Amino acid sequence: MPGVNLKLKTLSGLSSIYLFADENQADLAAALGDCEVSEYQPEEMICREGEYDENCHVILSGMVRVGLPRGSGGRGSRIILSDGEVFGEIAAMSGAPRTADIIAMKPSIILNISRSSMFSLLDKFGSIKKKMDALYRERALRSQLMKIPMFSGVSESFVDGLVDRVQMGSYAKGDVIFNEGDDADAFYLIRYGFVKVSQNEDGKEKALAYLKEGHCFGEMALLNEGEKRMATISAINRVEVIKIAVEDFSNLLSSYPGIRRNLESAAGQREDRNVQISQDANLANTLRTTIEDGVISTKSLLIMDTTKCVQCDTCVEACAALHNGKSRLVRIGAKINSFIFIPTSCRNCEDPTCMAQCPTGAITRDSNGEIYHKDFCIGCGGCAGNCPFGNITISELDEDTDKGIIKRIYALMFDRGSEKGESQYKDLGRGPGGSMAKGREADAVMRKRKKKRKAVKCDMCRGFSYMGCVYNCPTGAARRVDPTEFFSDLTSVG
Amino acid sequence: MDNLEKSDYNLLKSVWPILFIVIVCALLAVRYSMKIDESSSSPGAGMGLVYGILSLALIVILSGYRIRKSLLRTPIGSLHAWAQSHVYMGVILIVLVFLHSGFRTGGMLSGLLLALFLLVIASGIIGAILYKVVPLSLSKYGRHVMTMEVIGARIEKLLAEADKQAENRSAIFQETYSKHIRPSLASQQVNWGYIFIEEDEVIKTCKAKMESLQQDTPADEVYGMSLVGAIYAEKERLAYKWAMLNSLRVWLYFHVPLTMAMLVALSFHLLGSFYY
Ligand code: HEM
Repeated sequence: MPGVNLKLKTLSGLSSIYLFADENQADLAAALGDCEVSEYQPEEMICREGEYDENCHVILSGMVRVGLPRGSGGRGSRIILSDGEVFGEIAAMSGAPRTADIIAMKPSIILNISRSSMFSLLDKFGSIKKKMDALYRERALRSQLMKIPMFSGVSESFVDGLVDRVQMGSYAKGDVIFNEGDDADAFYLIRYGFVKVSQNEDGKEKALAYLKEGHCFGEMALLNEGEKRMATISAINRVEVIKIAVEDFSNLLSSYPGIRRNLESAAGQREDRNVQISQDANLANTLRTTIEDGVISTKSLLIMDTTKCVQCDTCVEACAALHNGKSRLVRIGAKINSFIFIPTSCRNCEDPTCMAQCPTGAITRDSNGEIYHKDFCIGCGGCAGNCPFGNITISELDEDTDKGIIKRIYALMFDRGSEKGESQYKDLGRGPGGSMAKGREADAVMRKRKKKRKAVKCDMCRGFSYMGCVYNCPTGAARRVDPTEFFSDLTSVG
Repeated sequence: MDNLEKSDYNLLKSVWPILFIVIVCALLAVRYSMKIDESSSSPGAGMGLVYGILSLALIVILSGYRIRKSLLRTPIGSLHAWAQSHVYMGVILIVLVFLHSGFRTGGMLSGLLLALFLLVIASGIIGAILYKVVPLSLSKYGRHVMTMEVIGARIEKLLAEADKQAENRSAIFQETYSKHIRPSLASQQVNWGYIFIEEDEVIKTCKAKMESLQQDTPADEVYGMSLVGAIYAEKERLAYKWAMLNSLRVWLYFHVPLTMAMLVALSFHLLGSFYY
């Protein structure tokens, strides 16, 4: 837990930090204005391995160690970082969980740059982008390259040589990385984000596959000299790539003929797959909608199987029951294919636009990767406006000012309405058929309550051991899935 | 490609059917290994009583499903597991109740109880079939989830579209339309007959009707009539879905009240058993 939270504005001396040294300090202060600064005491945990934390951290002063927590027997190696050094940038960028514990060694002041702020820093400030790329090259590139299945068997010295020569590239959502028919300029590895592979068919775009972090593309046209690009590759969300130049790739093929053979057989599989997509309308449709509806770039998706859903709405009732009588789930939505549809419910996007401009920082991702609103949400509606799927609404919530313990225990034990998720107003006779006495009682309760505007969205039933909608679906139609696993058949072959 | 090409709806995936078969076989084996003479066995003694107590326990659990359905905040097992258990326990119950009664109907009260019980079971089986068939038939339809609201709104739109098509047509066209097609388009009534037939049959009937109507249509308006026919077929397709969806709601109006009536009869049956 951080100690004291200070506002960045109260700190000066950003110019002494290597990462920020070459930029205009006023512009930087403006760009970093919303970032938080935290103070940690020695042995305090800053990041925990396996947890989600969307921040990239810069040590303003102090010292931290990356590695095993104290007392774990000294296994493995530790890295010590101090003033001006950066950590957590890779997990922040990829949205993946932390790969190591990070613990303060001395009293430390840490600048926490949120993922969205980090991306805007990279886009705005050339020197910061350069330095971050250099950091990536130093810390992660080698292991990333070694992870590519195609590189298994390639000597370490060859990979080391590549590390110095590869280029980095960034693309915004919708940008075309290359077009079908273009000359082949490089081989690409996706460092972060999702891309769409498509071809032109009678003037219309036909999606063939999507590719994600760790996948490669662009090798087909490099196999035979002079061949053009066979498909268009475009960014589904923000994409960062590593580019290996034609000469290096040719070198690789001539040094390791096995790689060429594998790529050629993968090319054959891709051909078969393209034929399958042309013939199978359901598959083609699923592919198109998962890409167009932004399904792929989400972390967790509530799906409903229409071949099982009996439209009893118990899921909606359950959602209301778990959320003070207000359901966050609307059981309508687009069908992805002939049997799956996506109801209105948070998708925990990889790159959550809802979190981008929250003025109070109330919308956040927890250590499990779930996005939720903290209690101090002011209901301004920014997140709701930014959610591309319309999954956040602004609602007037009742705030019961009568916090009597007896009343609460009574409500827990006997208030069937609260168990079933019915509004207490309805119970008190506000609805049709209520008696006048009950109506007056309801008014008295209403006066005691303050109305509060708040953003309301699916919070994956935080605080409960189960997800209300899934747990209470009588037919098993409602399921939460990881889209990249569930739709893994839509990724490219080879 | 499993995830994308078919739903994973597979009852045999669950352990229940196997457990069910094992339990039924075990019960029958016990029954016949004891070689009890049917005429001398009594529901109130020996194994008869054991079956009676087991049946009562199952009926309590089966009725408890309603309570589970309203306890949405209480983690006492997923509703899906409860629903599956409900169906299989219900079927096991048939065997248990007959073993308890010694395959006889008994006196008036017992007879009434048995009749109500069989009605509950029959309505339950119908419900289980509807739960399987209706969503499958609704899912075959286009890009949208077919809810009551969606269907209702579409039907209204179709009527307006058909009226527009019929505007400024010849008198014969107008008459055919208002006499033979519009009443069906405007009808809000649920056609219960639809739940017993396939959707394709509904469409075939529509087409046959339109073909016969087109014979009297002036040649230059045949195309217009075919457009109206397409709207009519669409409406009947939606009416089919409407009937299907309604059946999901309506069957519970049988299953639940019959359950209530059975529980009342059962209370008297139990009181009677204790009294005598
Ligand atoms: C004595 C036997 C039974 C009793 C007391 C009983 C009772 C009930 C009750 C109280 C409900 C809750 C209805 C509601 O949602 O309000 C229900 C639902 C249901 N029952 Fe039964 N039932 C029995 C046997 C069966 C059998 C044999 C089957 C099928 C083979 C069956 C299938 C169903 C189904 C499919 C539901 C609806 C599930 C849902 O909507 O979640 N029942 N039953």
